[in-house]
Amino acid sequence: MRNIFIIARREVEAYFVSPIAYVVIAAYLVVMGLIFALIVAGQPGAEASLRFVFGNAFSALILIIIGPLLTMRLLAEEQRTGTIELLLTAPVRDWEVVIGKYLASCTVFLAMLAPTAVYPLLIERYGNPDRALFFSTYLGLILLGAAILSLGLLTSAVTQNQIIAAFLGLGLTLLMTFTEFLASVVGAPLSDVLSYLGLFNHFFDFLRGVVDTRDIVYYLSVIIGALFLTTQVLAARRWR
Amino acid sequence: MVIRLRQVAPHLAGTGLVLLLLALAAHILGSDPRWLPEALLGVGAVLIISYGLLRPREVAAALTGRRAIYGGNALLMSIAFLGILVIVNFLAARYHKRFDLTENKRYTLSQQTIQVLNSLQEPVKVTGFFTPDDLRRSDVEDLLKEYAYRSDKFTYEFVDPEQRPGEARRLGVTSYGVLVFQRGEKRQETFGMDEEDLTSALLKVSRDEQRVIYFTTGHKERDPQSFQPLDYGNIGQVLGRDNYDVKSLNLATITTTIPSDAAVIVVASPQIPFAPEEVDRLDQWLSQGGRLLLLADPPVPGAEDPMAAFSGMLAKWGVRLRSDVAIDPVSSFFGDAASPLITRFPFSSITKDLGGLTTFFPVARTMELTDPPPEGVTLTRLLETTQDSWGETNLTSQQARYDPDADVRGPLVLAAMIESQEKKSRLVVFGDADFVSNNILSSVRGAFGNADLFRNSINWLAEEEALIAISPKPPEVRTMQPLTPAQRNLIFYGSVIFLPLLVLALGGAVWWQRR
Repeated sequence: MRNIFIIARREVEAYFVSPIAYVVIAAYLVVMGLIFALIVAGQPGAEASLRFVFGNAFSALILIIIGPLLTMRLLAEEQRTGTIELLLTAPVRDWEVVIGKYLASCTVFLAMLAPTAVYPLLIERYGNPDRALFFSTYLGLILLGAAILSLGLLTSAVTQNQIIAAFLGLGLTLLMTFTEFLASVVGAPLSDVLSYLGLFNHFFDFLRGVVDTRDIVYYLSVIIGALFLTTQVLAARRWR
Repeated sequence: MVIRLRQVAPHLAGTGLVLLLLALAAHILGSDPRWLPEALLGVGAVLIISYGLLRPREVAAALTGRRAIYGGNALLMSIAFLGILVIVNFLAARYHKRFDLTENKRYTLSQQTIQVLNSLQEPVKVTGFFTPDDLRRSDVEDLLKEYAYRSDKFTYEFVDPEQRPGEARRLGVTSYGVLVFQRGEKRQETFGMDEEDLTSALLKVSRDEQRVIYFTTGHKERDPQSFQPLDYGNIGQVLGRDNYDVKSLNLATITTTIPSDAAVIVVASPQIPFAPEEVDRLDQWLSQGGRLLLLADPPVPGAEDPMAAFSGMLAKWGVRLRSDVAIDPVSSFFGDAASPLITRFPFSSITKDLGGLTTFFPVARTMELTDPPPEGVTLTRLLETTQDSWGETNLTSQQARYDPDADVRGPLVLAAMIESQEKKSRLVVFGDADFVSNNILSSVRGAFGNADLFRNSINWLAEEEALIAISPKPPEVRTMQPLTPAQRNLIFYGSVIFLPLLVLALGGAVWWQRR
């Protein structure tokens, strides 16, 4: 536990001393602010919720892009500079390294979402929202984001090159997103599986205020599965 | 030769792997010719095996070396772990729980709906015809999604009728904002978008026996089988498409009682008066929970009013037909003052989804509803003319003119729905029969709501009690208040510029300090 905390803290500090985290967060806020202003304040009688703010294609795309950007460095960089050997031979377990790094990226992601809490405050001030929806919307966003980050971490473990890691992460996330479109092409039993695998299929209920246990189980499975595979990839360095 | 082959062996193996992937893809996409996946699989396998034959030492090393042991171990662990995740997800998908966090439980379906969904034996498919900018679409999709979650026999799809007009034509859809329920050959459409409407349509389409609508005959009534201009062949077909069995019934020939399968009896503008015994039979049936639709045209000048035979029966339900013609110079069909046009409907189960539609009634009579209504009876006005209308009683004159002594001023009632909760009786009375005759329906097509009004009336009359219990949820107003330009600017600049700048400033401050 202590090891995880130390690794996570070191990574969070690394994120926030460099300007990259701030630039990424600011860019995210510009795009989301634009979407928010256009959708909620831009048309008279708009729905007083965040449903169409976070539930449109632009918001999805920017999450898919930012996720791998946040994780690409985490393991790829250490492999390139060779410091991963130090880390792996230190008295910490592989999975502690993986979880520590993962928690660091989740912290940055939360820091990215935190300023958007201004939106519900504005809706509350100028509208008549159902507050429970804000809760479920953010629950869904956090789960979705955490899943995307875990996929990004996995791809960061398989290569030494940050850029390649980012693109692999983007590809993997897109693949997990497009399975739901593939589902409409193929036949019955396979289409059910493919649409279940769809990363965003499990997100939309949260936006409406419906929390389903299977959506939560799905996201947790993606996260745990990706982190497990990441650990296996790191462990493979010992015998490769 | 062999040495040459050994050099290209890795390429052979790579090609083999690609072929295996292609075989998988061909299998998934359902290839034609059918043997293609098998052929690719075979050739791929041969290529990979040939690698093993050409380089036996490498293969042996890979299978027995240290790497192989560790790698195999890791592979096995990974497969086992992912397998567990798959099983967990499979179970979680089957035994899941949904929590509806919305304040008025918008997405919680009623017990009745869940029962209907659980009892589905065959798949039901719903097709919604909406233009993309139709605001009702997302609301109804929310609801359909809940239905689909509850039953794997329930599926839905949305079609843009402007993009795919062929699909709309195939399903006989003529207007936008309609849901078509299909089970095999059966179809049922609904314009209502509440849970009550959806479940009712679902129940109707999933039922095998057809409900029978009887049209009385023998008094020169409008005939639902005939396509003469004044008859009801068109509307008869509409009812058939709504899964009703339309039949004729001669009250004079039946010996004892009205057939037990009668869901609704329609009396469509008789020209010859009913015999007192016939009216008695209808009256008795109605008071014992029957469902009756009465369409009454104004009397022909100089002739006896054929509707007079019903006056005693109608009086018991609080309705009195006037001997007049509704005249509305302000709101009428292309300036024909004797064809009042009605665009606003009082709220009722029959008219609630007619908003935005126009209906008109060529030469209609008006009616009076007793106030207070008879004991145990609910009277609802379905159609009302405007304030500027009147009921013209001088039916022989060429020129309609308001006569304060004889004529009644608007608003006048053109149609009413009457219900006795206790006896389950339902009655709908129209002061007009022409509004759904063949000539009117074929001349105006889908532009007017006349056919929908008739249909909704029949559906309400034929409704089963079980479904009425689903009370519609109060509409939820969760919107933004109208914003002033200043407020809009505050939101815009605040969220697009101020907030990101704040974050950048924070980053700048951290960077400065470290420097």
